[in-house]
Amino acid sequence: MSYFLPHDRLESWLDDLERTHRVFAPTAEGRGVVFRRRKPTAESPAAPVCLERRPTESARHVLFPRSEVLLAFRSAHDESGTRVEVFEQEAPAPQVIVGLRACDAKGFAVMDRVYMHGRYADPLYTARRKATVMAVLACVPGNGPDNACFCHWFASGHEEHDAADIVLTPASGGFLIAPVSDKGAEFMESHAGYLEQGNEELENAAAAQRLAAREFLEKHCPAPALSKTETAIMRQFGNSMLWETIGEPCLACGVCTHLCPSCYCFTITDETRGNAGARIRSWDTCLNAGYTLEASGHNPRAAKAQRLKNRIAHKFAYYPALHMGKSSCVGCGKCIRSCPVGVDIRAAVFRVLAADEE
Amino acid sequence: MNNTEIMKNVLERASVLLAWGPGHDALHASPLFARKAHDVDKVVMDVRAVQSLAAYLPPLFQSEKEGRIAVLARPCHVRSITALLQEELIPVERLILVVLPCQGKLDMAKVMAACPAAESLDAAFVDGDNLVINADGRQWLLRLETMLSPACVRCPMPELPDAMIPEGCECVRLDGQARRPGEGGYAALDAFMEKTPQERWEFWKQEMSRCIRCYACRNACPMCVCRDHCVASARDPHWLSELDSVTDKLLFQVIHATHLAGRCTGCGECTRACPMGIPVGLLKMQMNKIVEELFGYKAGMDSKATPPLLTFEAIEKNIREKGK
Ligand code: SF4
Ligand code: SF4
Repeated sequence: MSYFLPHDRLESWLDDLERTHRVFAPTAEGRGVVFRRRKPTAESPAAPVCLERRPTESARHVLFPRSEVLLAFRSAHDESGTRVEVFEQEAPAPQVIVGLRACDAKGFAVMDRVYMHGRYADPLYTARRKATVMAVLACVPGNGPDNACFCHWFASGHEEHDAADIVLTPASGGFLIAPVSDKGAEFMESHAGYLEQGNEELENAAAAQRLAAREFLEKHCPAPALSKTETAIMRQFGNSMLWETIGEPCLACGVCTHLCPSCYCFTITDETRGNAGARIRSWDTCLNAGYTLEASGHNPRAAKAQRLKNRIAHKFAYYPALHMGKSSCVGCGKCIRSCPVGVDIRAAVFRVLAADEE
Repeated sequence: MNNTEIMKNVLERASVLLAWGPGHDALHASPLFARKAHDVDKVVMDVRAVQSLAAYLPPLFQSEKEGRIAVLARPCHVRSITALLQEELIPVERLILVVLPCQGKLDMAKVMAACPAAESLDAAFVDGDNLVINADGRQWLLRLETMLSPACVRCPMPELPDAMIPEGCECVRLDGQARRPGEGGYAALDAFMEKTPQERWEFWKQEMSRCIRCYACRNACPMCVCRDHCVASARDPHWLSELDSVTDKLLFQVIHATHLAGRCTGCGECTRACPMGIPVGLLKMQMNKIVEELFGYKAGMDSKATPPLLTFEAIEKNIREKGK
């Protein structure tokens, strides 16, 4: 079953989704494209959705906020004495993210393995993840792969849809919409009001566009033998000259990790003011000196080269070692596009492989 | 000697030459730490070479491995280096300045707006007054003058005057033609200051709501020398809240701007580095204007001068004290 959404009905369809879901979609702001809650009201319509350009940031913060209050507390006094009141988070409302790209959705698949399974499952992430429908915008030539994209390196190429529920492909003056999970099929059934039926012709046109995008990717940036990177990185782990060369231009800011769809590190901070306080979880970045700073004052990763090494090794070696060989890099290229000094994680991987072959 | 030979020659006297090399595609360049003569063959130093290399100097000079350090610099970068020398953050005797006659540096957002296909380009190069881009089976010619960064539009001296070579510093000049000087002054800032305070506050609230706290603006800044010891990341004392609040983000920008008062050379790196396109440099430009009005001082022009906020006069000419 597929549907067709003509361009001129896109905004109304999105507004209609608000009946049942909170809608998050990319909008153009300043020079960037960022994911925002739409929240249209009678007085002010939502900012127009921007699907023509790749988002600058990932949609990660929708499920894993940059900063969230895990619990808040306050001590209250009355005749009966002093009590401590504790406030926890409420259960999340149903929500849908529209217009994230396949690589962004893959990022959630990477986080799912860490935060939804095993002993350390994270209840807040899990609840939000279950309450979220992912409507992925397929990349097509002219609105998709650029020189920084390399999603085809991973089994998670731009045509695969783990974590996606619905796929929108630009075609013939609108979007072909196809559910790719049960959740997606159910969602579409209750939101087909503004849509027309899809047909085979449209489906073929959409498939051809996606294939063309894949061909562009394969031509401009051939994939290395990724199966070798895990061992190569571990074998080169102590080659400090190599990592220093790779890390030399790095400024140790956090552009790469903050834009990344699959970085999931956080830090916990208790902040208090008077009788009240909060335990806050906020994003951390392995490029920050404080990331590994120990209470003694010792920092095992004092130099930026060691920090950048962690970022690359985590994505291409530690994570795959724990998760059936799957890399946690999804090839979205956001770090490459936005790094102020042009650090290219692909080039770093090639360098490690080359050093390992010598 | 051509420029490549000049640079190779310099490298014989230095352990490293900070330059730019190829970036992730033909439109971009990335800092290159040239240590061997053959590295110099990769140097890119036209309009694509946008980063200031001055930010690398203070930490690099601390490394015991390094001998003399040579650095490729546009005239605006020389001002940052002069400011670092004034504050004795780098040693003049170990520095070799390699100055290029400046053609300006690209504003990538302008290029992308003029030619969206450039993001998947096959080739890009400079031809006379134009940036040529081959993409999508077509060719685009973009007039260089219209593609330059806001800092270049303002820049009063694309050709470094001899008087501005820091005293005691070995300086090598590369061959080439500099572009004509820009408009100088504070036009962009003045236009912004026409807004009411309320409008400006709304502007900053909206812009900073996009801030992701990556601190690229800080780390790309050549004068931000606190590095791993910045107040923004301090846990104890914990100055800035971890809450995702616009006021805390703006508070950091205010700290950054005040810390740079009388030190900022207006290189534009903070604005360029911001991945979210927030024009944080405007805040510093306002500081620069105030410092210029109060003290008649512009940072990084004279290696012998003392930045006004690092010293004091018993009676400041342009500051009227209370009750006087
Ligand atoms: S790789 Fe780039 S974006 Fe990442 S910390 Fe280094 S300089 Fe910043
Ligand atoms: S570079 Fe931009 S997004 Fe990053 S901290 Fe600075 S203002 Fe915020």
